[in-house]
Amino acid sequence: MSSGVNSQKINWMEVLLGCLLIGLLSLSLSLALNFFRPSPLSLIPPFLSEPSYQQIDAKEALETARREGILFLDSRLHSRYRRAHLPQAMSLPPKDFNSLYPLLHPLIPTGGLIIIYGEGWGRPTEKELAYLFLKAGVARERIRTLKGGFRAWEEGGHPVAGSERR
Amino acid sequence: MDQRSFDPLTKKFSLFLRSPYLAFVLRIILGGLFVWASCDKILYPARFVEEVANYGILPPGLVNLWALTLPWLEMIAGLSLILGFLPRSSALILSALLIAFLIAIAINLARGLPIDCGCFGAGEELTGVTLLRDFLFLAMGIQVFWFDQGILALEGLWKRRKGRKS
Repeated sequence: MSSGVNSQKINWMEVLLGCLLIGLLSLSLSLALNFFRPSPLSLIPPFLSEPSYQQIDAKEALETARREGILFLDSRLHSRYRRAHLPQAMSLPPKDFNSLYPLLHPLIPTGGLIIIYGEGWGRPTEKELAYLFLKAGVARERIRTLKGGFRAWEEGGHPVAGSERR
Repeated sequence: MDQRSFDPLTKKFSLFLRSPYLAFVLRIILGGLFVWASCDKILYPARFVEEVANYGILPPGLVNLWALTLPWLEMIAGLSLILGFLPRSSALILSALLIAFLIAIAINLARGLPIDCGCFGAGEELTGVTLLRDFLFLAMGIQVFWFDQGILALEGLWKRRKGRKS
């Protein structure tokens, strides 16, 4: 065809070497600039290096909820909490911990349990929030995570509050 | 339908789609879009880490590294595309990124998670429009990859100079 707009013959080796060059340049620049930041981001999130927290299943959580001195915390996004959450739970996504913890602190029962749950899939927000509580000085023994997260709770047919409650 | 009146139009449209001049315009637009998108992510890395984590797709151990490297990959590939330095490699990288974004967006739309897109700064919620927009960007990337002939490209100037010397 003599259209004059045909694509040139592609030299795949050259293209892939170019990709490698751009990739390596981006990786080195991002790591170097992060290193020189006043507060560099850690490459591995610190909550991952913590041993896992004691888990509690939905049935146990229901029984525990009847006792006093338990705080249920929903670590999912506020919008997810508004739609549906455990009836006793308060919303506290990890990103809001620093701003909301001073307000929440008086509500934390002395010596009582803190039960944290996330979606049960995707981002492990319950582990992130549990780590923030540990850092704030709450003893590991007082922290529990809900087994299977909110998904397991909902699938188990347990009571739910919020705009989409059954 | 009159076949003879339809054919020239289709042919003209096909020629337009394969035109190196269109590839040049798309190179500037796509490159500019990615450079613009990278600026906010480079300036506010902690917020971008949060947005990447909310997608809930990458393993938690890779979130920070991806959130640090991706903006620089976008910036360098975008600039290379505008300047015409390794334009095919840049178009291939940006198209591959767009395919990854499309998959991530589709998964989260299916999950019904009301998360921020994290595309061009804060406050843009993920919707079907985001998906369509990324399909359009991907089509632009593919056009540039196949039909760019180095109009006003650094690479072309450099190769011509090298050719003259030898």
